[in-house]
Amino acid sequence: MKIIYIIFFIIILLFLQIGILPHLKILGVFPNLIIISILSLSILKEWKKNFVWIIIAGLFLDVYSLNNIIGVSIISLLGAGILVYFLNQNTFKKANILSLIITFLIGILAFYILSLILSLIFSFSFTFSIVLVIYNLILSLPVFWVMKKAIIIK
Amino acid sequence: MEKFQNRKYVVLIITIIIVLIVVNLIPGFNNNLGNFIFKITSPINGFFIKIGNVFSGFFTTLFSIRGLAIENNDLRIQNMKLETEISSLKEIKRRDEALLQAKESLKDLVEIKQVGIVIWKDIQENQDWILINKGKDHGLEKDMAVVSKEGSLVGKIFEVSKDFSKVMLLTNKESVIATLLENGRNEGLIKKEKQGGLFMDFIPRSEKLEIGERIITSGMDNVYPKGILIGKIESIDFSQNQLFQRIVVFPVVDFNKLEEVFIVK
Repeated sequence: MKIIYIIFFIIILLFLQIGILPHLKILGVFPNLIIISILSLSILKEWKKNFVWIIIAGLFLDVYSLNNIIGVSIISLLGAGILVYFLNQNTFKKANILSLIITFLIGILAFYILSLILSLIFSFSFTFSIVLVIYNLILSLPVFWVMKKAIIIK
Repeated sequence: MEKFQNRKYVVLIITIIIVLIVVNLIPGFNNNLGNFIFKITSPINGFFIKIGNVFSGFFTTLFSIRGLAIENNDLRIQNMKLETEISSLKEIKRRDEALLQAKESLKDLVEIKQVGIVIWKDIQENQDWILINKGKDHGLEKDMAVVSKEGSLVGKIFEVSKDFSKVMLLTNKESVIATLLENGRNEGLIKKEKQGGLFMDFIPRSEKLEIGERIITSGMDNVYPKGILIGKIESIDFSQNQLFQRIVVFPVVDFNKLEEVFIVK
């Protein structure tokens, strides 16, 4: 049963990311549900249990990016995922909306900052946009809610 | 026990980082891995992109319903005018056919190497690259120019794997194109602005430019063949420099609707 939920979730996620979100651009950017989903998983489950998903999602993002470097998104997602997990466990123990928003904000920023650092090291083009961070943040709560429900149902 | 578990994961992360460094150092590995993943995922991606376009089209239509009644009336009037024009156009068509024949002999200006189907569009950043279903095996090479079916410039091949190629669109911030104003014959470079649009600068203030004037490739960069249409002058900015004027360029290609592209040499 578990695998059916996972496959269904991935199909919906890819459909929204590939088919729908590119048409909902704000100031030239649109959110990345793959990053938000990995951060949500890292909050909901221990990061070690999400390890494989982080590698798969990171590999997917790396292959489908213009820079020809494998590992940039994997490392950024891994770093952001671990950070979010520990923040949620140690710093923001109170599970209220504000702590969740702050956790997501730090996680999203961590992902883009790590990507930016790696882009400087490996000299490839990377655009850091605060609009993108905010857009991702807005979608992070609904995605988190859906994933939480899915994990509870499962 | 937990300490041991944590140490195990730290070792695993370090191992992954080392593996990633090694695979990036192996020549061609990333290309082959990309090619393999593109092969598996491209049918699914294509399907989702098509559904997304239908979705976008549906909402565009829905939002434009109010204007449809007025548009309908205008179209009736236009239709009457067009009916009268058709007869004269038939005569022009006969002449055009002869002209086309002449154009065929001038075809060596641009040679079409391949036709590529767009199977992926950037989903992460600014949608400034696309993936096409032709690669090294189809004779494609890095830096080949890519045009739309209307013959307008789309961009250039940025990365080639066995069966696929990534095309950097002219709206990419790394893209620089040597250009020429079709009437004024001023040369310059088209780049992307920080705000997202395209611009061409260092045109002397003394040059009189017209809004809507066409901008074509000059061929000076040895990447894009001369004469390919890029866009039109959208606006002219005099504010940034005392000596030069800066042109805001409106690209003629609708990048959201690209389905097939032509690789030219």
